[in-house]
Amino acid sequence: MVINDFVTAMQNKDHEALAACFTEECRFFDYCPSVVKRENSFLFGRNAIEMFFHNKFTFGGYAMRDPRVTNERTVNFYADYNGTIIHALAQIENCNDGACSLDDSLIQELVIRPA
Amino acid sequence: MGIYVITGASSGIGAKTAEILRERGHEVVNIDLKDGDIEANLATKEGRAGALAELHERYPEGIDAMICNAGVSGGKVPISLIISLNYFGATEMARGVFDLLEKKGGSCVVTSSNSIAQGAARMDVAGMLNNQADEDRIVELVKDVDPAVGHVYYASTKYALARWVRRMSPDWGSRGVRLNAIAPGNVRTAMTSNMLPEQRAAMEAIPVPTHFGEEPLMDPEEIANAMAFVASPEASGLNGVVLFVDGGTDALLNSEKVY
Repeated sequence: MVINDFVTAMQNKDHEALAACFTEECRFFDYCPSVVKRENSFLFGRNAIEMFFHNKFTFGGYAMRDPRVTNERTVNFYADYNGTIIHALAQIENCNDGACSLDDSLIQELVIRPA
Repeated sequence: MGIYVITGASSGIGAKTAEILRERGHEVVNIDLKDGDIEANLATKEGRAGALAELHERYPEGIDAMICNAGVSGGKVPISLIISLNYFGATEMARGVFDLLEKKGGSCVVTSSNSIAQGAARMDVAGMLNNQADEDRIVELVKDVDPAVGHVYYASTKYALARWVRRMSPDWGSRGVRLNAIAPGNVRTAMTSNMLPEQRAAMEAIPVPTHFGEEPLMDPEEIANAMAFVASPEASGLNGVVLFVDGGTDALLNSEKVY
């Protein structure tokens, strides 16, 4: 399932594999940083995800810790923003096939919120 | 045609800017340590004074633009050089030709860096530069700092330079002289061709969106074109602007900062 691919890419800090989980014109929103008075992230498009996380993974700006996949759309984890940790839920809102459970499903919209 | 003075134009972005301006028919004066029309060490007070005296002697009727581009990146050079050249070498040269710019209603452009938005700058250092601006005391303070942390001081001087532009531009603009900053992204230069593998990996992790999937470094001409425009009368509406010329890197990493 694409949720597992997403988690694996996050844990491996593999920006290319992460981007490959998404459709070309996807959306990735992260509302957790504002909890600690930082800018939230709003990424539009697969290439933007690849570039953004290339930067964050290289400079230690983001890590997924202790992920627990609860269903084909949701993962419960600790988001580590360069040492500041927020309990978070990543929710796949939409996939290209509507199911998110097929081998070739791709994420159209994913939102990370405080848990 | 105008008289454009540019510092650090013997290579890189400065050389390309000078080339573009000359192609447009302007008289260009390059102030640089080597191979300059005026050779001066802008990291020293004596060097700056000599260059300013030469400019006043050559152009008593004024100049159209001053482009303060000379600078040095961190990593190998003494921190004091970064402080003296990047900040004081720009602000003191700009101040020193204000009277010449005022005579012709000219403009001043300084070269900052898009690294100012990436969190590397030390705000205490930037604060000292902007608020205290005592070169001798600040240089004395950093004289024993390890050059290995030079990138932090580089970002600090470039942040202070951009803030200096923001602070000074209202007054300068009211007196007929526009003052702006260009904040380039990662640019291909002689220095970047000799990077260590880990330096190159770090550089590539600051992606330039317009170069996605291609050569990760920007061409100096991409910056120079913007610099020539901002310095020109066609940019008469621009004052106090810090213009990111980085192919979208700042937008990628800081999309929520719209002002």
